[in-house]
Amino acid sequence: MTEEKQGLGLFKSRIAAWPSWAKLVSVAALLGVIVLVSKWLILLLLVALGLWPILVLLGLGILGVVSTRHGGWPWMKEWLGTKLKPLVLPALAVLAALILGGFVIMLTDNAAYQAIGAGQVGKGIGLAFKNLVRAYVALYQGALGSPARILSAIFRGAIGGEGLKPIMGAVRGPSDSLVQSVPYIFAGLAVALGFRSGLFNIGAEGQIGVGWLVSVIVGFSFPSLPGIILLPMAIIAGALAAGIWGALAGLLKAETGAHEVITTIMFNYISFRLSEWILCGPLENVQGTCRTKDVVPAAYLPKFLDHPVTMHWGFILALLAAAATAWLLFKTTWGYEMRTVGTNPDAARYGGMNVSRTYVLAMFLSGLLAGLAGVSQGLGLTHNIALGFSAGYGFDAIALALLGKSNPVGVVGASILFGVLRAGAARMQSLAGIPTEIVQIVQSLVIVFIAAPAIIKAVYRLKDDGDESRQTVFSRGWGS
Amino acid sequence: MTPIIEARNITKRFPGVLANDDVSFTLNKGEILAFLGENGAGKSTLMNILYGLYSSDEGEVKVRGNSVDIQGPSDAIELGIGMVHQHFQLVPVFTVAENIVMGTEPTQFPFSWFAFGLSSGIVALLSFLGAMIGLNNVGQWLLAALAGGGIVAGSYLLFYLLGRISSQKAGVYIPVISAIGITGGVVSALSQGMPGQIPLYIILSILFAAASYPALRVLATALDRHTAARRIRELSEQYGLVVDPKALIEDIPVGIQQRVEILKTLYREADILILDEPTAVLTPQETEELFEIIQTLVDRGKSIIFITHKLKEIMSFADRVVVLRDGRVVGETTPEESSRGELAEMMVGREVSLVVDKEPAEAKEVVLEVEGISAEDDRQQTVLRDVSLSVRYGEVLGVAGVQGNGQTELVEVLTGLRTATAGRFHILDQEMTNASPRRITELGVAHVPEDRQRVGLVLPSPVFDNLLLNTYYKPPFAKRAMLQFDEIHAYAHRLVEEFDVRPPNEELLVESLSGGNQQKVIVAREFSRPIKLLIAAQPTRGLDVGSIEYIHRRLIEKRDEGTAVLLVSVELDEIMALSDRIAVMYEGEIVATVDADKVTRRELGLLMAGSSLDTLKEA
Amino acid sequence: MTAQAQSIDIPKATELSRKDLVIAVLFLILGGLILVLGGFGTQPGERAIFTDQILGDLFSLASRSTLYTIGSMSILIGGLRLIRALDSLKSVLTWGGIFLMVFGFLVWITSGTKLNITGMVQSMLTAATPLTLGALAGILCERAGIINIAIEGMMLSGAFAAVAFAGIFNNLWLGLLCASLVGGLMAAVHAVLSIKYKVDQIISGTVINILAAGATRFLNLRLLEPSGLSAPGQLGAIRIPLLADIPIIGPILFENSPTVFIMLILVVVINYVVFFTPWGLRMRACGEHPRAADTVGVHVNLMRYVSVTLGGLIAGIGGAYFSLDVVGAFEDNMTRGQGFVALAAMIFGNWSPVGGFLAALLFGFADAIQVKMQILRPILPFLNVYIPHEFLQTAPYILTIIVVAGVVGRSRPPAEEGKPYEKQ
Repeated sequence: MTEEKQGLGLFKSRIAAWPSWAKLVSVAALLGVIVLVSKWLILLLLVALGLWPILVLLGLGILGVVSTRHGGWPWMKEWLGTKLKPLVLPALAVLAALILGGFVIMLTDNAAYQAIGAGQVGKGIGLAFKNLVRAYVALYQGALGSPARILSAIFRGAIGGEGLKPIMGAVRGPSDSLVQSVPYIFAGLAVALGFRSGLFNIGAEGQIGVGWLVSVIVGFSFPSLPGIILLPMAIIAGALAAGIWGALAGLLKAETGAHEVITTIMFNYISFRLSEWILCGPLENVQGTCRTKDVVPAAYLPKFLDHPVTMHWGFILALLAAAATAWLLFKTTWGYEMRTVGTNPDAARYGGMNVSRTYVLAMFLSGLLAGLAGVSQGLGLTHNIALGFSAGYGFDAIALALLGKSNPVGVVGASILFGVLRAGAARMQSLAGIPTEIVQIVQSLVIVFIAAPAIIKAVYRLKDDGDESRQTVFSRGWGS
Repeated sequence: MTPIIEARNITKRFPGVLANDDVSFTLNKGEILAFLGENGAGKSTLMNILYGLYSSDEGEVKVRGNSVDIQGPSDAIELGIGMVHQHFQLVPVFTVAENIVMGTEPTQFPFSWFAFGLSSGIVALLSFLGAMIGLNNVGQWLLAALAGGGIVAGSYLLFYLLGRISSQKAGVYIPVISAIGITGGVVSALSQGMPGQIPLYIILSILFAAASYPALRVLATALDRHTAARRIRELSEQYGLVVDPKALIEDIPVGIQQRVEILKTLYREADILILDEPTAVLTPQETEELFEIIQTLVDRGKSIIFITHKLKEIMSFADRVVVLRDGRVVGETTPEESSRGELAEMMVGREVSLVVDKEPAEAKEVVLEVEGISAEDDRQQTVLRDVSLSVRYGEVLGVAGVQGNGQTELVEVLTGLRTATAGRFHILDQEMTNASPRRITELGVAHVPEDRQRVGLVLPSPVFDNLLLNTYYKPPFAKRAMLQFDEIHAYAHRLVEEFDVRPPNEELLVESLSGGNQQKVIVAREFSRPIKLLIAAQPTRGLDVGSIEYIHRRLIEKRDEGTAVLLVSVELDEIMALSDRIAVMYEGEIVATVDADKVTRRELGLLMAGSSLDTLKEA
Repeated sequence: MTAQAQSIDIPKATELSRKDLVIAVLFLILGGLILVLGGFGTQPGERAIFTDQILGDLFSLASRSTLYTIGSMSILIGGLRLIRALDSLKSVLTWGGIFLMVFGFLVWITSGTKLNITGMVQSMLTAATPLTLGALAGILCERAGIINIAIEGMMLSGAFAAVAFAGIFNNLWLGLLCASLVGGLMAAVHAVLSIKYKVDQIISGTVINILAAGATRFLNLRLLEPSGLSAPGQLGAIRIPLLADIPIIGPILFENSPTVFIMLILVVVINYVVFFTPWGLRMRACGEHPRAADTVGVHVNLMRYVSVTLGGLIAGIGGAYFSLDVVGAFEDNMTRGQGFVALAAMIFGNWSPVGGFLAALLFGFADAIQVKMQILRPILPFLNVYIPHEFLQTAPYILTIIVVAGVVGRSRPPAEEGKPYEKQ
């Protein structure tokens, strides 16, 4: 380990010694290569996601082999323990929530009740259980595909000479999951950034709508512009509009002390009402649809692969946004200010920071990130915006930020998990007839378990090691 | 004679701390027993155990010879124990009367024939008039009046009836009402020909009876403010504690608030009074008054437990003294058999010198010049009035005064954290009135804030983050908005060593450090910058003796290096030991500025109580 | 009543406070707008007629001259505020001015037609019902020291439970009862999370909201719709004989649906309980200074549990209003954010039941007028367009933001709100 670190450090310092133009050129070259092979990288990623059980086993195997050189099982146990410790609580929380969700599904099974009503209690319970298994299998396959099918598709593609087509079909599940996770990543980052700055942005939902709407408007208003100009323009316009919409709440908090929880909720409803007017009124394309025109294809976020794999560049943008957020929060003075204001505004004022400005900036950035969630949906997936666009991403984002401990890496992980749940839930609804809202129930349970670790620890009889890092405190009254 | 309280082998553990270790003591009737000990010696914990706020891990308490188990304050009140807490337990937005009676309120049934007649009459009249506009004949008008008045009167009577029944025990009320409900339900179910509904009606009746009982108990007992005020006036006259029952707590001065606290215990007919550091917030003159009150109480047969860390108070009026150190009883004596020095040694565990060695100041040119500053507190009350002062290079100006006389606001105005409503001040000849905290800091002003945990530190952050709180944006710590972690860690490491922060690890979260080490982090941050002016507010509050000595030494070092120091403290000893000149604040004004070596404790005490320098000279 | 007496601004003689400036400028602008509406938005000689369903025409006003009068009075009030004249009458003038401007707006939209003013007040009261019930729920929670942003979730689950249990028992009244109980249950969950597990109360409230939205939809799709129980019908209006015949006040006060009656009774009862009983005194102490309450033997956390649960019971009734009163069925997310508006009404009303009721009436008025405008469709001068009714639908939300920003009125929340109480 130490050797490795030294080697890495050496590498780092060598790179740091390069002249800046060389750094730029090499970064550009690296990016170019990545873009060129992106199609294959994404395909690899999707296949890996679909085959994750095999990969985990493989990883464990490799670890086992390595461990024989370091002293076998105890070393491996310790290594795993230190690496996985932060994951234990969230994982148990998600597991508990899924189990409880399963109970909810079983308890609301009409067919089972009918059987019990007919006097066949055993059969009824069996039926409920069978339906649950069917539902969860559908959930898994909708989200991650079936490993067997992926393997056979690879064989058919490689040996049977059928090319990429079967693989594309087989990795549709993982692709859907990642596509679903894109708005989650953005929105989760938005809420997490707010949390870090001591702001509870419940307004992500409205900010998503604003970003979505503005990017779509830009996307269809300039049909003559080439994609290379139009696409960035649409993205930036949407993000900025949502950022300003969010900054309003920050401004209100900074200037008047109005609690952001209330103002952002109110801004949500204002944006919903206004979107009802604008989508069913001035911007309606076909009478009665409450839907805008489609954006021109030049403004689409490009897809990596062909139908039915819907993965688009929004995913890469989301990962970049996560990296940028992490860099901003932890490596810059702005981030230092935001974190300080978030944990103790009085100390921040004492330290000479401009607390008001930080609130406005944080809400702007938070809104901007949320807006990008809408942009990625508008330009990457639907290509227009219709009434009822609100899909609850903004509210789910609260769960994401909590689950990811307001850490960008954690948020990305949690978002992919939620994307998986959402993609699977759609399939579960069509195959097993379970409403997708079960995901919402599971999510709220996840928040409960993450926010109250005492429950999880009691359920699983973990010992209380007292390392709960303090959550940011929002409830300081209503201000004003 | 059996002692009124006998505590044996009380032990209380908090995570990581042994707050009380095998403490035993007795209190006799009509006695003033003083508990002496430093901050954190376990005095307050012991008293909270007696009052039922904590439960002890081991040991037993006997009251009037009977072994008791005090589970909560209500048990203690039952036993006649009353406590005046160090931080007053008064609700600021309630009146004096409300605060005193809360928990044992006098009540009345909210019924009077007058209200009954008036309300139903008015409603009847209104219904009559309303009906006159729209309806056709006199009969209808009268009927409307009857209906309107009848509804009010009927509901009033029903409520009265139910309230009366509910004043019986729940064991009577619930079965009776349930029975009535069930009978009615069964009859109506049978008459509608739906016998299947009967179980439902039964459940509903029982549910209604069970739910309405507590509701009626609440509704049928209204607060009787008249009786409350009358009883409080009686008590005030009896014990000479004058208060206005209708005044709001937040509007009356602390001295009066303390009387309210004492009245609270007397209202509950306590005959054992625990006073936890009652003099901490009082002027010397108010303290005298308090002692008179206590004497009256003892004369009327009350027994007093009195907690303090001030030796003088003990010597002047306690009957017996128990000294606590580190949670253990280290001695028991009477003032007659002991001396101040002896008590001090017992309390601290070694000989203490309250004197700080320092050379006389060499006053040079002025650094801070304040002219007529006024400011308001968070509730928009003017709490700082026309304050002027100046601090020079190489001197310590001490600001003395009882807590809450505008010192906090003065410091906040001078450091840019609060806006001044009038006046101005200059630092190094630059006008800094209402400048941002950052501008003032950059000019070379250091600020050790009064509330170190709320203002001075970011508790859930590591030490190195806290050491940068006001320099994080400057090179070498940041280059173009990018934090330079190598420099930051090296700097933090150096400061932690230099200022002896323990444990010496800059990665630790500040919240895991002890109070003294937290203060060292602040001192390290503020003293390691090139500074011209140091503003220190209550720099040693709540610290152990070792840390206090350390901070004092550092302060004097800074002064000797030529820094101007503005020291705000409510500890008179600290002010007298460190200052070269002393400004005394009272009710937001500076009543006098005097040279430290030309003033006595007594004079300072009088000034802090609002006397002016002239009257002092005359006296 | 003592708790409200505090928040009086001490006027400063030297300069105009920022809040005053904002209000003065608002008055000037709005006064100007009313003048413009009077001059260009009405026809000369047009009259606004106000009617009652029993008495017929009550009174009529010449719209243009009325609007001119009101506009100039508003400008006068703004000007007075600007030069700090008549400072002692400040709040009277402000509220009088607000009332006048609202009335002016009413005159403008009615200009040339008739407006049933009794019906207007009636629909205002109806619209205020869920808001008031929600505000009462919030007051009970927050006075005891627990922040409650879960009113929306409690109402939504109440709305669902009302329909579900009304269907199961085949009795609307039992539906109402169960709505209340389920609301209380949700509140109890909020209480356990925030009191026992010390979860941040805003997060815990958000959980309740998400859970309620998800669970009601899920259960509706999976249980109610398949079993055909989702439309049990509406609670009819209760008419108090004779009194309901009295013109104007009769239809407003004595002919209403049960939830409105419950609301009116609860406002009085809760106000009495909170401010005039020992229980209320102790409960408020738990929100203002829990330690003080504890030292006199009040069980702070028990008090908080009871208070929060009671609040939930009331919020549940507020939910039943939506499903059993308005629609007669359950629809997804049918509370449409009214729970949050109720929260704002609570803040606006300074945490007092009567204040909350008055604030709810104000919001109810905005709602009622918005419905009227969809019918009357007044045309804006110069632009020659109808005001889209969606714009007016945003009015309660904008009003809420203005309220929490403290531009109008000043409120003082319970001091220890939001902090878990730890005994030690």
